[in-house]
Amino acid sequence: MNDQELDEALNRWKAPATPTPLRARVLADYPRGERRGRRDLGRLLRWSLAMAAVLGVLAIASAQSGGGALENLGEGINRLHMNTINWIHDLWVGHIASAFRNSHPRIYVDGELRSDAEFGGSGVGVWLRLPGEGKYLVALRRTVFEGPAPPRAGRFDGHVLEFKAGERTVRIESTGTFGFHERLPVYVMGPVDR
Amino acid sequence: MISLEEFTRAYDEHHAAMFRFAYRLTGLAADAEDIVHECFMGLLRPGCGFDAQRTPLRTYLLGAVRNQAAKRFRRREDAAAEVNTPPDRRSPETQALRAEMEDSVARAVLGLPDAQREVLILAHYEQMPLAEIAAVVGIEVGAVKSRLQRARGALREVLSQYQERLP
Repeated sequence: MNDQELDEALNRWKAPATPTPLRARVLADYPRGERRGRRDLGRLLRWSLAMAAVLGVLAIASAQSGGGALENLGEGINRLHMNTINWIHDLWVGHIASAFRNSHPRIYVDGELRSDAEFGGSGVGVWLRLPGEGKYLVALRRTVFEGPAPPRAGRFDGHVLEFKAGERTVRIESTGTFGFHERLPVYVMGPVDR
Repeated sequence: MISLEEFTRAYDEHHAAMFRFAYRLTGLAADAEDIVHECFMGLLRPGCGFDAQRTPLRTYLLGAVRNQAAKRFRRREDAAAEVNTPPDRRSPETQALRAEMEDSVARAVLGLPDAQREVLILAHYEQMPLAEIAAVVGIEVGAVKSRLQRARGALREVLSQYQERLP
């Protein structure tokens, strides 16, 4: 087989044309990309404010407590320690969740592949919108909830996110695995809108 | 950030080459579609590394396609197995062999090592100059040449059996 014959053979493999809806999909996401940049900045600001608030509360509690100075200092350090651990854990879980979301996982509802379902989120929270049904908020950390957290509804191992949404079983499966296979509990609220 | 007008122009100018490249890297149109979408979203992110002064947009976007395809943890055998090119129905006998060959070409290209496959696709199917391929892949021009030669040698070996059977 000479070069020309090889070229002719290779030319037999045709690529399909770009699907027409892709253009609309990409262009429709233009503002979303812009918002994402603002969200990153907003998240940084929120974290900074949260840390400042924690330090402020610690300082006030220490000043107002009737205990001794050493006792106050110990409590303060303990609280700071716990907050820092939670903060690091939130960051880590948020990182895993972000990588999982960006891997374009496949969504199965009661075992059926649903290409019409939308999946997104930010930080340690994700959401799933099922057409005609609504949006389910899925939290990978209890710290997401200000009040009491809803009961545990599933688990996430970095590869599969599985949970109960009402009477349905939702399985969101990625081609990759993120994190160290730690099994995280999943808390679900919703549907919150339609 | 890039304006909507620039963004639209970038899509219109480059999406076809990106889609073809992604399709031939993964063997799946659905994956190629997602990859192209993700690459354009990457262009909008604040941390986007594109610098128009240093890199042509096409080179940057095809490099992004390459990176996205590499991230998709797809086993090559699976991808090759899923390639399903429709048979050409225009004539009966030799067309079956031609369709088989088209399928075989896809399998042979997808069966190449990643490093050879990407270079072959850009050189043969996208007709890119070696220097631009080197920029996309991030290697020297000499390495591009040798990868291309190895890829073509491997394909020649695999495909020659079909060529002999064609009229």
